[in-house]
Amino acid sequence: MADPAGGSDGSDSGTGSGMTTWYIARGAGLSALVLLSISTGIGALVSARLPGRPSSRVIAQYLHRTVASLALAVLGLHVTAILADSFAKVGWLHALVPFTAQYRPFWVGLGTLAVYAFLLVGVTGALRGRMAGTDSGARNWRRLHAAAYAGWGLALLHGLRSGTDSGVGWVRWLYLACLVVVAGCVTARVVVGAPQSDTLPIGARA
Amino acid sequence: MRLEIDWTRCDGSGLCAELLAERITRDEWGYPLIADSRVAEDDRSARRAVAACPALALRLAHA
Amino acid sequence: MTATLDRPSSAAAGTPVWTIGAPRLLAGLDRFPVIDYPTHLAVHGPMPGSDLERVLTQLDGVGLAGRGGAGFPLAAKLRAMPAHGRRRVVVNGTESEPASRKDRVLLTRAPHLVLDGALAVATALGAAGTTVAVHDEAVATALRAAVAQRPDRVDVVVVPGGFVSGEARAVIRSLDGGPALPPGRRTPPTEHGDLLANAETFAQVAVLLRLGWRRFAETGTHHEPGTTLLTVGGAVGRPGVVELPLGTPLGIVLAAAQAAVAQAVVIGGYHGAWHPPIPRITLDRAGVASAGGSFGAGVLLVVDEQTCALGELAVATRWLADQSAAQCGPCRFGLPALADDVHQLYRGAPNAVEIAFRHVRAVSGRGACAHPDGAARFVTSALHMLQDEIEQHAHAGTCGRPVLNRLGVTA
Repeated sequence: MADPAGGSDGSDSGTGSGMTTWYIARGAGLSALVLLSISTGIGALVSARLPGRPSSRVIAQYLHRTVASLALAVLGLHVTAILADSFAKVGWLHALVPFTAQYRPFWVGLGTLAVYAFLLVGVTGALRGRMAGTDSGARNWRRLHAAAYAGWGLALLHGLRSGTDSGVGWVRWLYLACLVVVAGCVTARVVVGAPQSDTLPIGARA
Repeated sequence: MRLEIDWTRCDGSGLCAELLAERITRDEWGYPLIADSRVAEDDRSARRAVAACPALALRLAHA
Repeated sequence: MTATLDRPSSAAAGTPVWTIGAPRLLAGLDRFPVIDYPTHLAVHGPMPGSDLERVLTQLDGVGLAGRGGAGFPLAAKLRAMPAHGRRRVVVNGTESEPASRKDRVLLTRAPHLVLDGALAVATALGAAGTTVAVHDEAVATALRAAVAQRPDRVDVVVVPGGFVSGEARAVIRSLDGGPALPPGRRTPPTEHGDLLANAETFAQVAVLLRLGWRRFAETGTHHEPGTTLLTVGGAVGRPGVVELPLGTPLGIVLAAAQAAVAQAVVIGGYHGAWHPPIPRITLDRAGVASAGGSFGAGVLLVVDEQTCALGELAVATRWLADQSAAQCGPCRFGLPALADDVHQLYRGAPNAVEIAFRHVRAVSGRGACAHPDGAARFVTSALHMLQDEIEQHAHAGTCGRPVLNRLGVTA
């Protein structure tokens, strides 16, 4: 694998305290992807017209928010560690402006775009109650929050093509699992329909 | 403040009735019936219900 | 039992017009089938200039209220308009109330009165445009011909849809390229610079500005001066559109319309109410309101002794349910349930009354527009009036009379 670590297992390029941030960056990147996949999947489900008691939807919303918050925190750790790491050589400007990195600029750039998408998603998520209060807010909220799907896709590609550990067997399985979770949840949502679709109210089915 | 429902958005998911059981019940089709729509400025459970509505149909309006 | 009613005929050409007292809006229609611009000027005289102050003075002088059903004071709408930004005057000529013909008669036969009023308000407000929204292509054609006779610019737009599409905000939404459905939030059109009023309202403005408020108030009641248009139908010998002084007693109108012996009258149309034919009910907003109803858009339908009133109600309720835009759950599910209840009553099921009243409560105040409330008022008033009928149907299964569809057809 052609990556800065020089090896597919990523462990033979160096050891010791100098590499700590590098390990954190890689671990946090993978963890962030997993958490983002879970919260995106649950997010697709909580707004779907799935049958079930309202209380289970409340729990699902709570999970969605909690996992999403955690994912954003871990994503922040990933970015911070990359910036802090002398080995990765990603400067502030390279991180902020997509496609300017020295290493695989396109695929690293997708990561930058994914961060922007999830920042937007996080902000709209926090403002949900407030946006419901105005006509334009309610109209635009779903559209803006749907940036999560784009962000998730970008993050997956970013990880696959610029991630150090993408060649490792179990990491590949992890990527596949992320794909299956999100694709499955989105499919479920498309099949049962989003709110306002032309079906009976959820309460009327019971 | 007053709880209001945008009836064109509400799809009767019942979350508001779950979160605000003391003031919201559901009719025979599952749509919310608000017993008392007046809400105190610092009512956190009402704000939580507004944020939780899957259809973005529940809102707090200034009375 | 069917759920269909005769939809309004597109043209008003076949609608007879007559008057009680001196005609104002309908002046000249006894001599001319359609009043073109030169004839209009000959009949009504030139239109005086209109600055905002003068228009408001005149409107305030008589407290002119909208004639589309809600009865909102026009002066208040003018004052609520923003001083800057895009401003537009919209004539609501959709007349989606199924029994009403008055706006079609005005727009096809005396269109210049409506245009005078709309253009005067547009001038007073400094509005950029004047638009007339109508449902029928035939009305639009007649109106465009009238506009072509004048030096002014007026857009005539056909907006689609049924009963609820004639609601003010649904009309605005349709004009702006959206669906012809009431939006979920009750913001008045003036907030976005739209002054919308019913076609008759603008015709009244044209009369008011010509006469001045003192002469305008020489007829009508103290609180509601002037005349009104009323569409009269059902079991009457002289159906049609009538101009009469506000406050005219129901008994006089029924006699003039050669009404059959009535078991009930429906005032205000399909969002109005059923009343016993009490002759002293006065036909003005306050008079009908004190009788427990609503003057609405000015419709009077006579339900005679020959028809099964409960059957009439069942057909009408089904029609109201079919008119739900299915946007709002309580209306979408509640009105069909209510229509089923009334049909059960017609079939003789005794317990349906309580269920019907429960469903009335389930739809009241729970929608984006006034349709569920209007339908609830219509059905509630009828159920209160028809208690003997309901008992008779429960006892014998029928009252023995056919359903003659008195509420469906006018003219």
